[in-house]
Amino acid sequence: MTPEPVTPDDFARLLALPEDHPERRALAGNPAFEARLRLWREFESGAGDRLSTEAIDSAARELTRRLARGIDTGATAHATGTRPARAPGTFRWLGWFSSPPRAALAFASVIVVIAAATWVVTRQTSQPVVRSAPEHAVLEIAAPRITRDGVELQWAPVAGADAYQVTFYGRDLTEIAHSDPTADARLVLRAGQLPHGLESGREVLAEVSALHGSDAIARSAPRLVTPP
Amino acid sequence: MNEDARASWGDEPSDEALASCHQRAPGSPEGRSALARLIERWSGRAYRWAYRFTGEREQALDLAQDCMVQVIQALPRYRSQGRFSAWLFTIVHNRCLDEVRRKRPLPEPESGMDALTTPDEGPEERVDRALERDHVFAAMDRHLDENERLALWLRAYEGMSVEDITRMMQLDGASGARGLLQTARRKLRAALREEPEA
Repeated sequence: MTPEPVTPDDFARLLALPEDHPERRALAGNPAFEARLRLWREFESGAGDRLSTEAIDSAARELTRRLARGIDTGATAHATGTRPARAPGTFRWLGWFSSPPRAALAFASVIVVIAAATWVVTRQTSQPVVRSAPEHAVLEIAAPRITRDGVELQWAPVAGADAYQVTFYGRDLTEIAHSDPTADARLVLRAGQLPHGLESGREVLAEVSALHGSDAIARSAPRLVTPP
Repeated sequence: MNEDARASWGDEPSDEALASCHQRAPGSPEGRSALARLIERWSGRAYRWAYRFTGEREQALDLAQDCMVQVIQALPRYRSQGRFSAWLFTIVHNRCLDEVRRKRPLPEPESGMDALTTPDEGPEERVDRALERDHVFAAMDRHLDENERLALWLRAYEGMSVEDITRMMQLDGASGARGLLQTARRKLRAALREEPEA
């Protein structure tokens, strides 16, 4: 009998095969495979779940927020054995400092924060405060509008941004074009005047970045758009 | 990227395409954006699954967080020819199983299900046991319904407690998984008596 496909790679590979593939047929009636298959279907579809949509959405937002912190610092993706900070009230996060490299990193971070704070305080007395986007600035491209001029992309202005740049990605998510930075919270794609790399009628993903100087302070989720 | 991934690209990129994007340049804005999208897409499901194992919001959040961190750490090794959701599910499910096994003592071996365990033994015993196990699997497939097979499998092979199986399978009724397991055992014993191994 075929060994139970309990590793992520094995199970993923088997499910990518057509059901009539010899390897899949050989697993028919295998309780391990059948159990995993059924559970995976329930996992994907949420069939039989007793949680309300609101409860799931709320938890998903909380989880995304926790994990986003890890992504922003790069810690989650690149450190081994690292986990992002948990919710306040659980003191398990203190364990994070138990390994020497992390303790050293924490110490260095404290020094940097103190130095930065000192620099900010001394600057504030003589220079105007620079406005920046709030930590969770929302930047979202509205549904593209077809106008007489072409296809219009619009988004709400972001506090602290002095320019916006739209980047276009192809199906394989490689960058194929970008607009010149503009102060307007909109971009019109005009037939015959498309940014270099864009093709008329070829769907692409558009992502807008809010810039302060040369720094991106907010970035939108990708939005599908078809250039005119 | 495989053909399935391309085919499923409709309003937005497929999971497989996002995973590939992140693998190519994990530190780039595009790679991070792809990872953030994957997390956003799968966090709710990971939480729902963890909730099935814990039955409590905060514990489920912590467990789902652990699951997703494992997913993120394993992402560089994901092979794009495999189905992403199945790959992610296996990581999440295995992590949830580890958690319930850690919290509860292992169940005692099930009567009549010894064939599903694999203790240390010699080559000949292993062959005998594998044949015996195939025989039990075949009987399970022929004589038990889908719920009975799953409950028995979770108990005997995955090492889950009756209480955890009840919550995991979201079973109603006073007896929960206990009644289902009793029925499954009774049917399996009868089947094995009627169909002795060749």
